[in-house]
Amino acid sequence: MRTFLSLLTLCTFAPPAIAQLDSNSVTVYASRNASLQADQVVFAVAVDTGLDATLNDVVAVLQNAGITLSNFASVRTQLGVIPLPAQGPLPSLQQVEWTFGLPVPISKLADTASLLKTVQQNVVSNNKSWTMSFSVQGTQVSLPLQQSQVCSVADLVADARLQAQKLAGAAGMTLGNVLALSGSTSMTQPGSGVYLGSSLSSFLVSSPFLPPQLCSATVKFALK
Amino acid sequence: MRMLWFTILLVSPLFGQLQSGSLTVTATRSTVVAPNLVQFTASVATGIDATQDDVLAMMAPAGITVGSLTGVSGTASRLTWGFAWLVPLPSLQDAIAALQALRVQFSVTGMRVSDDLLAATACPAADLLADARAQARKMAEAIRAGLGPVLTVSNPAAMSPAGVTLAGQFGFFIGVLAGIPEVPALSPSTLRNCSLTVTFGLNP
Repeated sequence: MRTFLSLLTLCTFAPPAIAQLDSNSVTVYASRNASLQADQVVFAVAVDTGLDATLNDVVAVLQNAGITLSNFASVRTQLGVIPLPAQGPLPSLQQVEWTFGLPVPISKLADTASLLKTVQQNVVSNNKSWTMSFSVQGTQVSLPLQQSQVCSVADLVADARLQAQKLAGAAGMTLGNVLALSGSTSMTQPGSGVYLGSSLSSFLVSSPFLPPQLCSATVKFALK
Repeated sequence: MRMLWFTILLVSPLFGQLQSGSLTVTATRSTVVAPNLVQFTASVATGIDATQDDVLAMMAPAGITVGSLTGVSGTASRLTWGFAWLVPLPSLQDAIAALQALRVQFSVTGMRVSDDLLAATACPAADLLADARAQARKMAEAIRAGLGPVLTVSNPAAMSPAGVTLAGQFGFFIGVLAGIPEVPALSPSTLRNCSLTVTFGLNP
């Protein structure tokens, strides 16, 4: 039993111990945030229909607003409970609410609102039992803008070197060459849906500078 | 005992720091995936003497099975059976028709992306490798080194959830321009995240 416990302890603590920092090296993590100014405003468009309408029916009436299937976000109803077996006629009209997300450039805010009002009037006049409503949900940084941001690796390495020099100096040593480096890169692509960011912000409440883009690198320097 | 040492030696590098003479890049691509499943809920009220089998038999024509039963509550004289299930978007109208035929009250509460669709959304390995190589070149240039061959490739996505619905509040209403009924808040997109970690050699 004692042997087993010894082995268990060894298994638990040996790997991190073996993986301590290399001798004569200093490893530094450097990061920079790049604030991006939101360039899109996101409209939520909702159409209430009868239970027999399909998604294609709804998209057809919204196409003049530039809304396609890829803008479809969600569907819902609001209904209660009745005892079974049901007696008498079914409860009053039940409606299905179809919701779409429509991101547009901020410069097109007024034009889009005007266009949606026109479409709204058409929806109501052409489909007596339907209603349409829309609101502005906030702003977001578009995918193209996000992807146009370039992380300056040279700046990150310079930051890391500065920090590493301080550490080396504190240890009475000097900094040598870069021994190893790690970093990351990422991008988001549209796919089958429309991009609706998690960092959507209000015009009134939050800063329009969203979201902070983190650039980071880990650099390992030799110590002399 | 030999096996134990072998295991320790194999595991140790996983905890290790950067390997000297290497450059490691993790490339990630996220794809927006449109929701394809509709979430239904229903509640059925019965007398106290109704059994689960009775209720399931009643709901069977709507495709509801025991797996959809979420709970039962009630009083001394009455039970309420709750159900929740998912229906493919193209089958929405059929599901509604079946529930109407059963004279069951129901709600459509929202949508989600199916696990199958997330899994089927391709992870472009070649693109990820190209992204990693491009980023690695920039990083190597920044330290005035040359980029060497690929030393290792690993797929961290295999260790994390395939799809992530971005969490967090999705903004505030800042005014209903149309001045008519409130529009529900949009949920953030569901993203299929694919990642590849590539370690390159560094040529001084």
